[in-house]
Amino acid sequence: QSPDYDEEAENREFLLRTGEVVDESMYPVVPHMKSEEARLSTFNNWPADSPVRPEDLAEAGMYYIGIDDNVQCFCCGGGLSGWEQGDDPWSEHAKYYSNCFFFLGHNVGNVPLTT
Amino acid sequence: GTDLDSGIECDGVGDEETQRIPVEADFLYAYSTAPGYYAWRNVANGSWFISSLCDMLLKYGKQLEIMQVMTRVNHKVALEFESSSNLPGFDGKKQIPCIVSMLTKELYFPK
Repeated sequence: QSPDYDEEAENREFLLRTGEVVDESMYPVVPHMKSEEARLSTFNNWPADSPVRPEDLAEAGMYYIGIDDNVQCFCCGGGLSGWEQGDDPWSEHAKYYSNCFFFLGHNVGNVPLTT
Repeated sequence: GTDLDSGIECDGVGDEETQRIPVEADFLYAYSTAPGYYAWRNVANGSWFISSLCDMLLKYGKQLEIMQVMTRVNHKVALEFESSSNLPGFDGKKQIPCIVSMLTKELYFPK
């Protein structure tokens, strides 16, 4: 065996040549929060003085994790908190997690409210 | 290369005389990735290129010219995807599709 034989590199090359390398990104990160209704139902103890409405948060993919005003996106798993007057859930989501597949409009299994 | 395109006769429009066109004319190759590169697919959502192509055809297929559609596919694959893998050396990788056009006219799909 040659001294510069790199087993790991050989193995990588083999996996690529045989097409076995796959992207394992999994969305949504929190599958049981796919439905807007399920997300909305997490907000029963949402701080009453928060300037942001649960309806708008749930619509933007967020559910309440029950601590202060911390919410999380069902798709990318990104967390947001410290909501201020004038904040828009979609804009904040986009500002911090612009690569989120839900924000980008991919089909990630979101079930919107049927009204 | 050194090949020579011998051309081929094609029907002219209306009264025009028969024209000759290159045999390699009017092909469009939409490759999922650049020459020499790997093409990624997601285990759950399918290949990055095909899912982006379907998305863009659905959104713009009946209004934009084919090259505009394919350019948007390039943009989507380039910016919205990044690989995630537990195997060493395969994480955080990117991809750009490759459009090769020998078209001689703009192409719109009928509405």
